[in-house]
Amino acid sequence: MFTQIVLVIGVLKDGVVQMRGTGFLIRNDGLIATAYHVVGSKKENFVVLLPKMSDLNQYQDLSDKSCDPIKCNIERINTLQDVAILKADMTFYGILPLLSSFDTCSVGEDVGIFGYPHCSTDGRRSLTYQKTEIGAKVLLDVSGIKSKQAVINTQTRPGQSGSPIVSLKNGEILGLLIGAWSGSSNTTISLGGIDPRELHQTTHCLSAEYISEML
Amino acid sequence: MTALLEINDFTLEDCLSVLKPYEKKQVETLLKAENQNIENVVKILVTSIGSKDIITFGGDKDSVSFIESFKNEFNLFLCNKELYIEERKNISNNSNFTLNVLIYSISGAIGGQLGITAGLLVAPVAILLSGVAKIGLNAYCKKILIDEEKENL
Repeated sequence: MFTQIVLVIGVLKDGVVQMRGTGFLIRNDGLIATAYHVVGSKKENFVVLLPKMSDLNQYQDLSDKSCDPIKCNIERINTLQDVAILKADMTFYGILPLLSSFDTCSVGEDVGIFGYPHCSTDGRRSLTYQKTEIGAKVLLDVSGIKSKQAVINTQTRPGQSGSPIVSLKNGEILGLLIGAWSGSSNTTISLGGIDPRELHQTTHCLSAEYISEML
Repeated sequence: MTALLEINDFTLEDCLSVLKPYEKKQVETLLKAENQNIENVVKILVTSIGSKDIITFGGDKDSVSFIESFKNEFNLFLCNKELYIEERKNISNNSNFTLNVLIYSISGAIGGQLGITAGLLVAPVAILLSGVAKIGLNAYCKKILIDEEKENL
């Protein structure tokens, strides 16, 4: 199922799709959740790419740059919690996983992530599954508004923002991947285009209940 | 000065009632945290991308803050008779004129002008409009004019 509902979010420019990150279907009429920073504030020709595989065990041809873009628009934005909901011109006829919350899982519990690492930086389109565990549950304050987040013990890479965090107990979506902890460091370092501050296993994810609240 | 639009004495609560529940809740929390400072709340809503403690992956790193352009366009929409003529006409001629129509129309017009997603501007427009309604559109536009003249000195 996740091969069909976890999609690349991109922008169509001059006939070429620039991949920006990951999103996932949350309603059968084409509503898709992603991180707000994946789409940003600018009005652009957003698209999602229809899946190319039906089985996660298929070999994905990384040299195949063809794609099937579907137009989508931004429906709702939540800048404080970094969530956006898009509406794609598509209908999904299967059963979608429920949106849940980190309230329903425990620290130490195994979770899965489905996303497209490196899609935004290297043009690599490969639906990738990672298994990890919930390392901590935290409250993060943004301008006086505290949000429930979970730390997952895995290193994630550009392109994975917007990936769903899936309960391996029941297949429900617990959260949405936002990014790596940095601690508001003002220093900017880039080694070969990579910020070393991202290279650790403290990945933050927003609880999925905030997506439900936006519907 | 003749008002270019009919801005009734909408209260802050009237304006916030147009927002989705999650937006209304956030705005109310922010207003409390910022001592009802509308300008600060608008800036936070427009410029936030989640927490500054998180490095975000992907997306468009070239996004630039447009807060000043947005406030400028908001003032132009309400006070400049040479600009946004058609948009104001459409609002005034709309037989279903409601605060909802007003806020979403202004957001759409400014969003289109700035190349910004209109959905991002709905809450900021709602909040700013409540400030305009408090003193009346004529007084608001006069104040904008005076402020601009002071800046040019």
